[in-house]
Amino acid sequence: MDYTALQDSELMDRLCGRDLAAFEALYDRYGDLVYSVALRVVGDTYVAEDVTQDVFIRVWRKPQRFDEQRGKFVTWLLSVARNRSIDERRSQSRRMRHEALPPTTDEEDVLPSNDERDDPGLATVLSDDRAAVREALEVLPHEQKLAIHLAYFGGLTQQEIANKLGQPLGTVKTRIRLGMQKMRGALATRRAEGHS
Amino acid sequence: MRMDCDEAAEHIDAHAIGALDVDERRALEAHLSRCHSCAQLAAAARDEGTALALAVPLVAARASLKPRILASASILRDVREPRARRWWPAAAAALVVISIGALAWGSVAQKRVNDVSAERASVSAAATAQAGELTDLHGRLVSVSSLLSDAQREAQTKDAAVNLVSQRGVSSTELVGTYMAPSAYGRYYWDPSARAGALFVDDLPPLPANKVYQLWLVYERQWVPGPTVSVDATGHGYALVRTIGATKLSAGRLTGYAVTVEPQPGVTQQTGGMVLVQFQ
Repeated sequence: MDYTALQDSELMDRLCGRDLAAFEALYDRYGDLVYSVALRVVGDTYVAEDVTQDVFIRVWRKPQRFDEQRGKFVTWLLSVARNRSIDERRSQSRRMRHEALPPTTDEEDVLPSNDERDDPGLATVLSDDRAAVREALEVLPHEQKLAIHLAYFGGLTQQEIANKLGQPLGTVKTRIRLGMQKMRGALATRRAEGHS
Repeated sequence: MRMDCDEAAEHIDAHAIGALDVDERRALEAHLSRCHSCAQLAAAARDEGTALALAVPLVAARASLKPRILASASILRDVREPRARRWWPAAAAALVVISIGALAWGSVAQKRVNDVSAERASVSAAATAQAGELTDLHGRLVSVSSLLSDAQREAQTKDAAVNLVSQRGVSSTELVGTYMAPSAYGRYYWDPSARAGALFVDDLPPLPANKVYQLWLVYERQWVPGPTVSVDATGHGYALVRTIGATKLSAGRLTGYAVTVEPQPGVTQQTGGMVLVQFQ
């Protein structure tokens, strides 16, 4: 059977039947994406590998936790990956007794990244979706992007972001809310124009 | 803090990207559990928040990661899922905990011994009173005596392991899980004065009945077999390494420790894969 032709939900159904080939197909499809998210958050290749393994083994152990009614599989998988990565980052911080910081706050490293930074062999992975998100983030002012970046990839709360940037809490809350609204609007516009 | 819909709307986007503090998150989630329309907004925001992950630079993982993950899944396919329990956060306090816990463990084991002793006394009294059931009761007595012996041995071994850990001059080293058991953890304690050691393990998956975990002392040119390690339903286990005599000089320097999966009741030559390792 050609597992590459199966939809994510079909592969997950097979996972419930302990189909290792279906599990392999899911890894082939999303393994590098999960790894990339983990690497972005934890900043270490070996730790990112451990996180990636942990994420996929969780999917293998409890495939029934994915509810197709609640959204797409890749959305759920990336949510698991991000949350696990943040947990690992916080554990690292506690062990090192350092304040939890994202890899960098340099402007050029705040998302979105451009396509040139992608591994050439992975250019086709969810290319339309990635392009849509990157375009949506492009319209955000830097302050809004930074606040969202610190929250999502750094695992910081709004208060922690305010403390880190030396900004009032209300300002940070407004930046995050407006940034997410702008991103939502840009994604909706793109969808309406039929690009994704 | 109790939220209404207006307040919830102000927090939904921050919640979608994990930016709320604990109190805000609890209050919002409590509201979402009561308000279907806000819950729908939150779900949509969550999808948009997760989409941020798509903007990261795509980096290929090393080729070795895939077989490692597939091997783990393959092993887990055939064993019951253990209850997750992390020892690592308590590792720094393990010595204190184990020392304090020695009394608790000893009393638990002793209680088992006492319970089984009490049952044995009861069985003996019944056999005297009812001659017609003597054969059945005798069978029970043998079974209970066997359990008593096992419990006594277990209590003695555990006491000895705990006592070793508590001795002065004891050193320890950490064993980490391999791809076969990535969440497993072990710590090996060595008492140079007694030339004895104790291994404590956590989060090892249960094995089929014909398999057992076995400790190895890894020298430069030889793997020296150690004791087998039985784990309970939570993946926790221990083993006592009795007095170790001088190893042949040809074995070289001690380079580390490993726990492998071997056929019951253990082997003299390593055959199975490693689940825990520590190499210097």
